[in-house]
Amino acid sequence: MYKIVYITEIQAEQLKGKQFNDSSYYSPTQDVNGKWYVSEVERDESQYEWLKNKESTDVDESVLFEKENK
Amino acid sequence: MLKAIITYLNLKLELLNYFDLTRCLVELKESETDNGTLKQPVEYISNGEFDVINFDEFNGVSYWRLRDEPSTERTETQKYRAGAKNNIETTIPLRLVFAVPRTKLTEDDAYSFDRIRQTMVKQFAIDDEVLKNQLGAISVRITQVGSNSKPKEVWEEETEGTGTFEPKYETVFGSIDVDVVVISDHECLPTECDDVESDILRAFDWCGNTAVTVGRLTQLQQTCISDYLCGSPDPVQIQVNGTNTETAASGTTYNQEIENTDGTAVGTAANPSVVGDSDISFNGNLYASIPAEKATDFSIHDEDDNDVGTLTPSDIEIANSTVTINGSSLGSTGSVLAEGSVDIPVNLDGSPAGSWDGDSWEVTSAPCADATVQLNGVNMTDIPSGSTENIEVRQETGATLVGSKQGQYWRIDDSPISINGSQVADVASEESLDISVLQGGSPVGSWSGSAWVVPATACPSIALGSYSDSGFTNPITETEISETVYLKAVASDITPSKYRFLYESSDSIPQLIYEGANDNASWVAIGASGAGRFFCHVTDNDDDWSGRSEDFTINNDPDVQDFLDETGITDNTIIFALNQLVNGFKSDGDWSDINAFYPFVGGTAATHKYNLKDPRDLDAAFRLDFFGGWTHGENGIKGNGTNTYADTHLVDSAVASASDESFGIYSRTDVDALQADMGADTPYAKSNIVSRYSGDFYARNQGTYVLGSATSDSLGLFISSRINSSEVDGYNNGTLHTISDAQLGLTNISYYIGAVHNTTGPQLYYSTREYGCAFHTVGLSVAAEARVRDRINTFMTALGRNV
Repeated sequence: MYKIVYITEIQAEQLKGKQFNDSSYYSPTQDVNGKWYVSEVERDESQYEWLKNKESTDVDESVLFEKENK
Repeated sequence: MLKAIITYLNLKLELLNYFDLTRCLVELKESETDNGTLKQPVEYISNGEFDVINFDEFNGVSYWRLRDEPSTERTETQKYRAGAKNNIETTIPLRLVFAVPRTKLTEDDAYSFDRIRQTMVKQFAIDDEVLKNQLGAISVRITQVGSNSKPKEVWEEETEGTGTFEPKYETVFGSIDVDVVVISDHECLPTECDDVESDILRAFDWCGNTAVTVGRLTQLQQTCISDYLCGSPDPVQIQVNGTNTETAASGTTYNQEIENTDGTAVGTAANPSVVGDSDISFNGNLYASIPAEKATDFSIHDEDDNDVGTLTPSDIEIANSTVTINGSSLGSTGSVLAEGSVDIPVNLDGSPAGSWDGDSWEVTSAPCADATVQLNGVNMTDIPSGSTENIEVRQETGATLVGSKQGQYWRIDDSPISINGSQVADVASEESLDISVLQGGSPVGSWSGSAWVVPATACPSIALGSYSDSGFTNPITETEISETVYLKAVASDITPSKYRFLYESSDSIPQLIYEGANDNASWVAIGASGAGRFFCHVTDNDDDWSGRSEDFTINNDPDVQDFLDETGITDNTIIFALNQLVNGFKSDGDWSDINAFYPFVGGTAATHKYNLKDPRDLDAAFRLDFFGGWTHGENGIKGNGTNTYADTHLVDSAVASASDESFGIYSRTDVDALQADMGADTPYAKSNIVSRYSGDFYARNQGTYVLGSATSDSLGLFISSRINSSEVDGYNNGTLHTISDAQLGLTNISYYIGAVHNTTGPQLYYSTREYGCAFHTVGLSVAAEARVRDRINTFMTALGRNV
């Protein structure tokens, strides 16, 4: 199980290319359903109140990634 | 009189410059007109002609008129008492009516009338002798007794019957009532009368037949006249020597008494009255006679003409003479009455002796015996009475004088005893002192004639050398941290049983290098960079140590120093590990081939992002950008498996050649999952590392999909290397997995860490593994991989993060 923080597509676009500390950037990512999410670290260190107030969600790996042979 | 008074008052008014016309005496005259009886002020001119006062005609008009008839009366209450003064008081009641143009006033306001009134009264009140003299009066008093500032009332009073109110508004119209009181002797009363005798008394014959005329008066009247004309006789003025003293009534006798200060009557009964001389005597003898009130001075002096004697109330007393001998008082015997004498007996041994030599009484005696001088009870010499003998107290030899007078004794100071300048004792004069010089409890040394000489004993000495080689042939004074330094000590004048080597770094923290019987030691430089010191201590009994120090400096590798400057890392363990790593790479010849090395030290993203090979905060220096929720700690960086990756900005086409590239990463987490540790995938070429997925380790390099090789875990160092166009070498902690894979090309995109930079599909294969370091370099041969792996493992071990 992974803990992630779901955000909207608009919010994802807002976060792309933005830093949440001097050396780290937001990394909005889509799950297999096309829903956007970020990590709890990004939320916790965020400068955006709307993101700080978001709850995290426990999800299974299958929700995040397509099954694929490497 | 009235004319003179009004003329005088008008002169006063003219001084005020209020009026262009000042009329004299005016009367209110009634006349019959068509409008009835009219009363107006007019001034009689003559021949029955009157001049009407016209207030409009002139620029300021005034006139005087009588308020009532003048009155005259005697001033004395007893007018008929004999001798009374015959003064006459005449009162003339006047009214001044005036019209003053307001333009002539200094200030035009509600107080204008009062200001005019005060000005006029002040002017009238000025004491002027002119009018009094002109009238021949005793006094003249001009008094303001009333005033009227109401123009209408004044106008109606002055022009009764006209029924009009004429004064102009531009004028101050009013009146002032003045009484002029003249007091004069009745005989001097000025007359302005017609030539008619007005006094009946003057008609009597006072001069032709005075006795008859007087006899017609009553006795009382005669007495009054007599008193008046003759009055009482004046008293007599008494003078003494021309000075007024007393007065005596006429017809009385006055006795002028002349006395001396004792109250005794003196002087002759004549004018002048002569006071007799005074006789001056002393001791019953007449000295002189002097005129009364005259002073005289007579001198009392000794035979040298010095004034003597003191005046007492009754006598002149001359003090006793004082006789002394050689300045000493003789008491009462030396006090001699004036003009007295005294005889002073001078004896020698009880008998009168001596004689007068003209200025002193000389007494001679027999000569005195010589004195005997002793020192500490020893006779030194005899000297004549009254003479002086100097006894010199000298040192044992020479002429140096010693000692000093202290109270009644002559004392000689103690001698201070010093050794090498340090005072150790005081020795009393003529006494001795034995000073023990010991070494190890035994007397040592001997007297050389000028010093007590103690033979020298050998002191241990140590020579300490630092070298870059174990053969101690290349001496050095500095080295880089993590380099090995070889130390050797050579002791003299001691046979050490133990050596102790230490290094004190620039931050004054000592490190024990070695303690034991060996005279040499090796040391891997560690500690704060900068100037420090080596110490070597030796002992032959474990209690007494002799030591020596030598300056020695340890430095950071220049590349490490750049990295430290950029990151601000000060931890000595990290610094040592970095120096050791870089020195090792350089020593192996691999440092120059490395394009990027990420040591992940310092514990934060801000320090983890730097490339040790080029620690600039630039994409061009392959500085990392972290994406997603990485966890940074002392052991490195850890992904979250959901969105974390780090962009190296390192594109293989920019730094690597075809078939000559390797990259590796140190994993500290054993995870068997489809998670990429590092890589860049494109449709035409893939370069990545998956340390373990389904039990296999995958390594790709400028090629395509390949099968993995079995691995027991994902811990340690995983390297992907290509050194030819047909194979890829995967190293799992040194275990080589060679896979046939044709080189397809460079990916030409930047490598990611913790994921794969994937342009072929949506997934980056985020990792949850923790990484201790990662690097990119040229293709590694088996030997080169071994060297690099050894340095990295040493680095991980030095940091305590090896797995």
